[in-house]
Amino acid sequence: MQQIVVEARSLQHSYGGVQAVRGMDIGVGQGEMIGLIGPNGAGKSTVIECISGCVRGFSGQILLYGVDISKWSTFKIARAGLLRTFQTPRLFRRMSVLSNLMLAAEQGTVEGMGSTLLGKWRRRDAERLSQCLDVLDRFGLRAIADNAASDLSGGQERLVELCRILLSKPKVVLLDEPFAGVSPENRHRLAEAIGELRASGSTLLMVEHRLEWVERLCDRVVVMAQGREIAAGAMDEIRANEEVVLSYLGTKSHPLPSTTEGKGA
Amino acid sequence: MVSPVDGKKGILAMEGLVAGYNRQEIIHDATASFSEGSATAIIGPNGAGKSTLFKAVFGIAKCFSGRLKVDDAEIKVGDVAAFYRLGIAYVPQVRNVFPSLTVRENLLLGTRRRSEASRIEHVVELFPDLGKAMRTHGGDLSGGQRNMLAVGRALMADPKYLLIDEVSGGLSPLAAELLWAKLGTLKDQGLTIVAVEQNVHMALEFCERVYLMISGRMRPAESSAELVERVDLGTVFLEGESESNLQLTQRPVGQSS
Repeated sequence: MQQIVVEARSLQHSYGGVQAVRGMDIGVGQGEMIGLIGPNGAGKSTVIECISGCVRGFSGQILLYGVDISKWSTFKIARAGLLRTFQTPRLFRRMSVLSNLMLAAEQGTVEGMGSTLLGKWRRRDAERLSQCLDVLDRFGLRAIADNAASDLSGGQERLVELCRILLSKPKVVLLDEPFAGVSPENRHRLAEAIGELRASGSTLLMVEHRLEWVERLCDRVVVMAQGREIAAGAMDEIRANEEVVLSYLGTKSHPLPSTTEGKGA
Repeated sequence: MVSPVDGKKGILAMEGLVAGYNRQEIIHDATASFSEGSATAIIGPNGAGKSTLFKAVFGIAKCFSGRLKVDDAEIKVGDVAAFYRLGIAYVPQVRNVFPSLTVRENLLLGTRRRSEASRIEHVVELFPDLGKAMRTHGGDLSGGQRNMLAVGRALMADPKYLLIDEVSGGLSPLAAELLWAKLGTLKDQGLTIVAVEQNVHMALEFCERVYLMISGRMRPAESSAELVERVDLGTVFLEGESESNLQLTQRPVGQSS
């Protein structure tokens, strides 16, 4: 049986007076990629926020390899190998693209960062540099290696964000609408970067609206509406699911119960 | 080319708006018109650019080309003085009330002249819940109250046109329907309503006219009934920014602008 790498159990979370997630269970198996889709306000991003520790105060459990990480800091979760992307990529804007990647590569090295022997450090540095340049080459970003991260297009920012994640060799990656704001030309590169993450053994959960990419990249799709799961399966099953299709059109309030009809709310 | 809607006066129109952020185009050639006392909904799947459209009109997003007109007189995008003078009011989706000011203070900010302060009575009549919370700070209001306050403040300037971004945003379905009902009352009194609305059911129920937006393009206006008949909206919204959906924004053969 496939090991469940990351899991949310009985997840519930409210923002202010609004219940964003009302009892959500989701688990991703080793090496699997799951697409999480649903209309606006369904609670999809909130699930990512909870799993990555970026919001507090939710109820339920988040498990990573069976360990309860619900109360862990974001730092600890990242160190444990669970990384994520953000709606707007959070790069170090005043640093160059290359420096951004070098920072990530440093964390991915097997040897401890405590090693300060000059010779060893230089050799490792050269290795890291060549790894970073390699990644930049693979995704057509070599030309912008020295650009400040603040000077990139939306698509380039997203690609650099993914490159940084690749270099960190993560166990789990949560992707929050990665294709948003990415030009058509860069979308294929982005898909390639995601493919490389999978090839290297990472487990992925992707929230996305662009169904063509969900279909191409994901093994399985989960649909959320109004804070909970309403369907799961392959994309064509989901397209044929009337409840799913209707959920995108918004809800009507329940008619006030009348004495003659006797229907509940 | 903008054709007068039924020849009525009081027409607010946009022609060929191209807009976005920084160098990126989000809205491509948006053309629409709204006549006095009508309620028009702008609907579309995620990423359609509905909010960006309003933001471009009010100068928050960048407008690369296109025109705005009121009765054939051109006005500049973002010209808030002109908007005030012509009675065009905007209710943004977020950050639409001042959290540190009271309800009363928020409402009074909607007017430029002291003589208009008495309009508070009208607003309270429309939204009695606000009347009970005049001394509550904006930041302490519930979502529904906040939306009412945002609309109320826009009404303080006695506008002719109300452009409201996401009527039902963050509201329970019941609260959203109650707000829509109030907007209906205002429409009957002659207010032109243009509403971006995510809840398609409500948009079609409360507005007689609708523009469907997909990936920054607008489908020519239709009545709600016509749209439902011609387009499988559920699938369109599910598919979002797909190639097949883009075709829907092309003008159907034989239909005039």
